[in-house]
Amino acid sequence: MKTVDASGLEQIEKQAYQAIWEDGLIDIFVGLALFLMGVIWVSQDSAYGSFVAPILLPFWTVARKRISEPRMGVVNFSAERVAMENRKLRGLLLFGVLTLVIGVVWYFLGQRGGFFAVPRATNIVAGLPAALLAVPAIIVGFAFGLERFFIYAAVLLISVVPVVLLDLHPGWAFIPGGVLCIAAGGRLLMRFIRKYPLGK
Amino acid sequence: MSYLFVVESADFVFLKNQTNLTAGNISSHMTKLEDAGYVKVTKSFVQKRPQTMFRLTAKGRRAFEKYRIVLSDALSGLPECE
Repeated sequence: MKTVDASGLEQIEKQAYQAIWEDGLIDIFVGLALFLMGVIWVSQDSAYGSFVAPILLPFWTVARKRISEPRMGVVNFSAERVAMENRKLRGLLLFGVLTLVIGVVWYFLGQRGGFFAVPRATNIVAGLPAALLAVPAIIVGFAFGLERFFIYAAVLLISVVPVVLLDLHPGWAFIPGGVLCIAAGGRLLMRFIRKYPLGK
Repeated sequence: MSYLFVVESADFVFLKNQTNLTAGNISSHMTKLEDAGYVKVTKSFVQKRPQTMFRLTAKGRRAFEKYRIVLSDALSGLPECE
């Protein structure tokens, strides 16, 4: 029986909030964005892949409406929780966009030499975009209680190592993290569909 | 009622999934709570599927708060288990 003291109610609210992320859809779409950004960057050597995330976002909301909500149900959280989550999301989006822009711009400026250029022996700047994206992934893990995002962040950081050491195109660092997110999200979605069948 | 207390509103499917109660249990509980004026029930259709939303009324929130206080007082008076 659930306790009705303050901490028990807090636990119930937290559980209800975490339930809405059980479907794995955010992982699939983040993974798709990372994967496509990496592939576009490697193949086109341009920053057009940066537009992938905003293009995919509406599809995520549609997927939640069509796949998740009929199975899990609909919940509207308190105004305080909504305001808090909106603040977190805005902060994250801003941080994510800024870090990506800084990383990408630094890379392209570095190609021209000068202050932003890094000696070819180190090529650290090639790993910068992916490394910087690991930071918002860690923040998501803490802010939204999605611990699996710590693993995604770790994979992004680890992917930087071969890019730097082997002098690979920086776009390659996005791809393993993207694949992992898609795979993990797919597994979560299958589990979610089995757990919450339609018409249960 | 705990689940409805911590959120603004939730639908039948969400409550059933979170509480693991049967559909019949939830229906009968909500009917009694609605009759007592503690819960407001709104029925609608979303993408051709029926949706029943539940929301605690102000009276329901006050009643739950009072219940919490009474229960906490009762539990705090019990001796610790050995």
